[in-house]
Amino acid sequence: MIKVQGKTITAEQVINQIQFNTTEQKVIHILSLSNEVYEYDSLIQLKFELNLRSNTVNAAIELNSSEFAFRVFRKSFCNPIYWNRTDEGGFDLQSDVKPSDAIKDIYNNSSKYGTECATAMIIVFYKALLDLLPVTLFNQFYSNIYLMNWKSLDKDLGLYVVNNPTDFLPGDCMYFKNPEVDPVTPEWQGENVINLGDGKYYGHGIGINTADEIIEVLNQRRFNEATESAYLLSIAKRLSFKYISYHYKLYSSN
Amino acid sequence: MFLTQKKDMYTNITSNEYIKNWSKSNFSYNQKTITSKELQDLDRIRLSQGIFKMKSFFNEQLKNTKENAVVLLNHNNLMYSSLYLLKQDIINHKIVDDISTKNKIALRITEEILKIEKNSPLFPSNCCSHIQSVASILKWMLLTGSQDDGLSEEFDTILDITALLLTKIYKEKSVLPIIINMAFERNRRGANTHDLLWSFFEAKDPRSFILVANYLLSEHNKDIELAKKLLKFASDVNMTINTPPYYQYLHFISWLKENYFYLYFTGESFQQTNQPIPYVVVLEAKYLNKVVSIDTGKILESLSENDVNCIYTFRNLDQNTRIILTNFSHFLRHKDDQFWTHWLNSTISEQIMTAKNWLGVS
Repeated sequence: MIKVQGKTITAEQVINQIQFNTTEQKVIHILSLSNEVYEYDSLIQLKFELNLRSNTVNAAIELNSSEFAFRVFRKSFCNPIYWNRTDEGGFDLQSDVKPSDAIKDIYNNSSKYGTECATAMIIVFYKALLDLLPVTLFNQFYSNIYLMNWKSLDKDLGLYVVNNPTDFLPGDCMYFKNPEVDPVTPEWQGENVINLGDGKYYGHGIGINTADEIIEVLNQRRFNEATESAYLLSIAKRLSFKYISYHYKLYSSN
Repeated sequence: MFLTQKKDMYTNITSNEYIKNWSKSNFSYNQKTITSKELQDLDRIRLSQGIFKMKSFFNEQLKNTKENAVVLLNHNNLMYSSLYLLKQDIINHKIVDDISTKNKIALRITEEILKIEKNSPLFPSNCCSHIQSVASILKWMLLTGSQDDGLSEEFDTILDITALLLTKIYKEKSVLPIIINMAFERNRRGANTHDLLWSFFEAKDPRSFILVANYLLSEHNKDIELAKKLLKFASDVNMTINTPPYYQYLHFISWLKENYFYLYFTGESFQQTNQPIPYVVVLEAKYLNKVVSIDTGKILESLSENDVNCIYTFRNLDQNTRIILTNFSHFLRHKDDQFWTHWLNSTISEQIMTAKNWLGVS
């Protein structure tokens, strides 16, 4: 159920008021049919979340079709014009470049980059934000980017975990766990994915697949005679849409 | 049908009793539960009609088509008991080469344990010795190799995987001090700790986090930062910057003592989240003072009727009330064991009222 300023509104009522793309419409329908109450201060706040979710899906699809490679941290690589590769395998923003240019470069010169699946998720989120926020705000807000799995998360992403959410939505980051992974290939201990909607997920190194297909790939990376299958965890990582939209509103009003 | 009532020569119970017991408790193997519906054909015949019938069925299949018999043996759900009982048939019919690696290794181990053949020509390589050798060689590699950690990316990768094999597969805990020291050393010099820390988590040993807590007392800020990050799962321990590390250390040790028997391993790692919570306290177990399995989070001790009722009611409470009851239960048990038993036998609303009054919660 969607509530805007305390009033329940239907999916149709939302769609009649503002133009939405396919992903956004899918999200609206899930939200409005849900038992959970999704509350917003305004339609603009709702639209912001829908935009960002849709951008996340697009950024994931775009990264999948690029030449961005899968590499373990010890073998990660990046374009040194924009990023400094640290000893632990993370990418630290060079001091003299704009964060927006550095994120764009990962997409524009994708063959110059390779890293693990968790870092790919962060890149997708940054790209989704870059496509939505004014460049100046993006550069102010995300001035110290360090790309290294979930280790050094920018607080202004406001990324948080929802355990057992009522709904899984396009744009959610989810996780397939592989409890009996072959220890010789620890990078297959699990797969971080972006929910693309319609039962499809993007995982870096695995590509765009259904849950069953991802589980099949992970199961092939278990130790010999393993018996426990990989599985999708009932958790979702989400950006703090309201927090970011508040800053966007603040920036726009100045 | 006459076979179903015959006493099994090995277990001395009738096959009907066998099936009855079976359906009561599904067989659990490595957390994967095989339900009675998923029983493989050979197991089904053995459990319902007895060993003799199962062996004749298998030999009949062998006579008709060898492939079918092999498929039956290599089925993922086949139980070891059936394989064990068919061992001689497998050898006699010379189908050892056709059976799966899992079955070959299982039969090889069987022979070694039974000391039938130390160097069996049927099953090459001595598995039991191999398992022990690999464990001790891995330990040697890590113990001596750790002194040169940082030699090269390749060398460090080998050490990481060695550590993972030892903790995840061999459940070797004696190497945990080395692993944690290496991780903190690497963290100081900004080197990769990703897989090494994962190997530490995978040991499933909450006590080993005392090794991490020791680093709260380090002179190096980077050590303290990492220790705080790794210990944050102990949610009651105040890891904020204003609390002196020594108090955080003491607080963590006392938290661990208080919650040790109620901890469940979640399997979270840094690949999944920036703040892994490798262990959670199973509140209902702490509330009842019952030890849980670290792997499943399920209570291991037997439960009285009152315990079962308490759990049922407890699960329907909101999280805050559950925490209040758990904390009060722990406090009361240590203060007055008799009163604790009396309290636990009172109604849930009485329990909540007493707990709130004592703890001064409205």
